[in-house]
Amino acid sequence: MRIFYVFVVNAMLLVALVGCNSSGTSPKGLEVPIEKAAFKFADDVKDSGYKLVGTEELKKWLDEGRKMTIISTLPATDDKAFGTLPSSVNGAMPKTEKELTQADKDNILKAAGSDKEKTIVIYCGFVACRRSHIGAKILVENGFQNVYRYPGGITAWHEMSYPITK
Amino acid sequence: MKYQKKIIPLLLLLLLTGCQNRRMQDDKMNDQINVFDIKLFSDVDYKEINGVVATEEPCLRGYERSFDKLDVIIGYGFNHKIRKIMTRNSTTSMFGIKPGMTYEEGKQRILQAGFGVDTPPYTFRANKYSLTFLVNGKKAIFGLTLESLD
Repeated sequence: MRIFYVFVVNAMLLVALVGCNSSGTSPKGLEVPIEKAAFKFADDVKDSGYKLVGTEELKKWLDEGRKMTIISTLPATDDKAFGTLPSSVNGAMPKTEKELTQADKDNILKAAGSDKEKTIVIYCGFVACRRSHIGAKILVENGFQNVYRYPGGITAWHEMSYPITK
Repeated sequence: MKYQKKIIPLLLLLLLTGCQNRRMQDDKMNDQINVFDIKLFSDVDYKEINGVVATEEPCLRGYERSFDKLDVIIGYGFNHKIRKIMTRNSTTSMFGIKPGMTYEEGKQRILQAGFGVDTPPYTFRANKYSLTFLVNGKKAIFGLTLESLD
């Protein structure tokens, strides 16, 4: 009976490991999708009006206690599944402009609040994810002056084993 | 040991009945989807539809294929099964709802189809599926997103 349980536990672990899939700009580490994403990223950032912040810099800002609003643009179900950056709020955005609605715009403006001079950091899943770009652009268009897009998103944050809120 | 012979077939029967019910629900739901024959949970690997070649993007739960000229996006899970269908194409419909209809008309139809309000006002849910209306400032539906909640 004990051998049976050992077998079952091992089989379950194997299934869990095989079932685990990594996500990111190129989960298989292929250069071509990374290159395509880089071109798109550069296009998006050009003339966007927002600034960029990297993973380590953002962690430093948090450690220093810098006053800012962090917005996750992932769907609430993804925030629940993958966790969120500390003290972040949700302002879910669609993946493409084609899916963008007035309700989405109202949602992110509500998440950003009324102070248009404060630092706002906006993120999504990973570099190729455009939800954060769409959200950051809406904020810039509505007069927010210190909007930072954090491209690495929740995947990079996980990669560095930085604290998350679940 | 004494009950093992009775319990195992009973568990198998329950499992099979559950699978069968779920499949029937999925089939019934898919019958009401009229988007280039794309069906939720299908493992058809769409790379081209009606001559329109897809562009692929990664996402946290798998990958998405966008057919820009058709105004259709298909989301696949890591298991290569379709978990999301988004359409803005007015020749397509879901549960009798077409892009271009008013929000009120769409709401009426989706409630009649057995969905309930999930995230007000535009997301509706039934079983393990959600349907979100993409609504513009004039309260007209310009797109529909059907997603698996699994």
